Amino acid sequence: MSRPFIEVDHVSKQFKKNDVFSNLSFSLKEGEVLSLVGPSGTGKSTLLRCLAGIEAFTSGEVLIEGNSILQTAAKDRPIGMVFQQALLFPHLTILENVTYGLRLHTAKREAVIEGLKYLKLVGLEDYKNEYPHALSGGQQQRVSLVRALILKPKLLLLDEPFSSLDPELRRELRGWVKELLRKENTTSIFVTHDREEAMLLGDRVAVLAEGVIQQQGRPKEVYDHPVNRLVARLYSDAFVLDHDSYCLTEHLEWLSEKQEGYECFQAEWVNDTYQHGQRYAHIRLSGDQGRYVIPVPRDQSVNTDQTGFIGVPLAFIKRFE
Amino acid sequence: MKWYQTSKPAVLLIPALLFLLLIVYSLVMAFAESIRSPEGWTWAYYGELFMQRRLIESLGYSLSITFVSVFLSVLIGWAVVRWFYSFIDEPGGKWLVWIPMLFPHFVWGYFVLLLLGQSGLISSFFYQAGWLSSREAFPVLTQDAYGVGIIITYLWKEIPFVILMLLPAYLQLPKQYGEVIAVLGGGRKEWFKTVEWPWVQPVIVEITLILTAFIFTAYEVPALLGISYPQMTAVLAYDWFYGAAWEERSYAFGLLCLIAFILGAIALLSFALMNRRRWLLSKSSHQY
Repeated sequence: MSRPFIEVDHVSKQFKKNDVFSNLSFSLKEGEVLSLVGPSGTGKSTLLRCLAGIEAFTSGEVLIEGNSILQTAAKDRPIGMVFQQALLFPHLTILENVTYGLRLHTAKREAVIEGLKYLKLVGLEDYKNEYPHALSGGQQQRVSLVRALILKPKLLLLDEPFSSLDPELRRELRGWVKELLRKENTTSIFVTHDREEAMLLGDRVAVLAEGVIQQQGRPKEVYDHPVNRLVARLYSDAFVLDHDSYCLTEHLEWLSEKQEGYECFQAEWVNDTYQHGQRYAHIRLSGDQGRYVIPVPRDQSVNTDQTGFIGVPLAFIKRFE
Repeated sequence: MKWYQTSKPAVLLIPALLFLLLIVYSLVMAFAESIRSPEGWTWAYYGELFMQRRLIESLGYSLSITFVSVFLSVLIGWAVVRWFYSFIDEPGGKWLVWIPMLFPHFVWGYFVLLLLGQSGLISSFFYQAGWLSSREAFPVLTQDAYGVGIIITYLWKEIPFVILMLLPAYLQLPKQYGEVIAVLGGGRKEWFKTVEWPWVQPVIVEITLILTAFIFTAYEVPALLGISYPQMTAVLAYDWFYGAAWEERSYAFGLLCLIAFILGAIALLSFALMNRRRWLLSKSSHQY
């Protein structure tokens, strides 16, 4: 079997003797996009910063095409990075920004030709002589992505690049980014706390929580088969019955009284909403033990604040594996 | 009340505008005095001004002292901030810099005279210690032909000024761009070229202008620590102003008007050249 393109092997990071993350291991094939999803403060951005060389790992190894990169300074690593803010140099034009990294090693003429090619690729060639402030947030983030891509990095790190954009722009941009990464065959790690984004962009997802990778796999695989409560809560739509078992919320039912064939949990119907024609009930478990959203038939008649039961069909209860 | 709310910025500007009016009035009056003779309006004083050997010598002396003082103040102050700004930002460091700022230039000049004069504290100490055969063997550092005492006083006073002016600029440097530069393959050179210099340059230009204008036209320090010939321009202008000859008063006005005009033009030009870049830098998307 051939070696993976990128290998991250048991990397750990401590800050003031506290573990930020420990023993993270994963690998990427060439051209693959790994979405790293998890709540804020779990060290996702720190992991990217360590990979980029801005910070150092406490221990572990990172190989690109079999070569260790950890002794290499950030500026010499074949790794590109896009930050949460576009961070374009405000006093340089868009073309100067795009060609900034290229100009460090390439003659101006070639850099400009390449820069224009990339700007055309992302539909921003008309802005080449503008300054960053003249562009919208989404356009600035595109330029920032192109500025990293133009260097043809072996690994591209995207640290929540859409987090400062409004929802509509985010939706528009993530499809565009996925397409561009595929076109350029760029191996990437995409960090987000938005699982929808993680599913959309990643060929694979890894759920990072409490400093360790809880699960990794294909987006649907992780969604359908979470391995523990954390993944079930953070990435899947699952109703966790206990430490060992769960049921995907798509199988749950709202019952006005207990029924056979179901495990029933007393709950209160809080509200209902509609999305793409499907009705969803917002349910609060008795004793305020959590809220769930479950699909319900459109014609099921329920009053707000009515108490009843979340019915978990016994046939759909699965064990965490 | 509504009127006050809408006109608040203009109202708040009134004291500054009144002060500015005073300056403009002084400049106009000085200029009027420089072109007025008993026979009527004339440019003759400006023509004659540069025939004065005393002035030519004074300009050379003033320019060299100003250049050395400003250049060294900016260079040393900048170097100190660049390498020690995190220490200077601490209370102890700030006090160290603030102490010379608390004393007026004249007091500091007097202090330099007492310290570095041939009969000053240091020469006396060296003499008492037996390291000098006589106090006169101590080098002439004050009231000397090269303006060493003047330069030392200005360095002592202006280096802290440069530090305090540059400190906020360094504390607010957008460090996130350093990370961007690193992942794009750049090093310290690129950081300096792309971030540090563009952000700091306007402050350095401003400091240079302020110090040049101040040192070139200040009276107290060269009057105290300078010699009788050549004199710095401000001392010469003072002598002319209080001199017995009537036309010398017009020379004084003409000289100071010319200096004000040249310095004002340089300042305006610098601001015009820097404004666009300053505006662009203010649009940066980085977060502190």
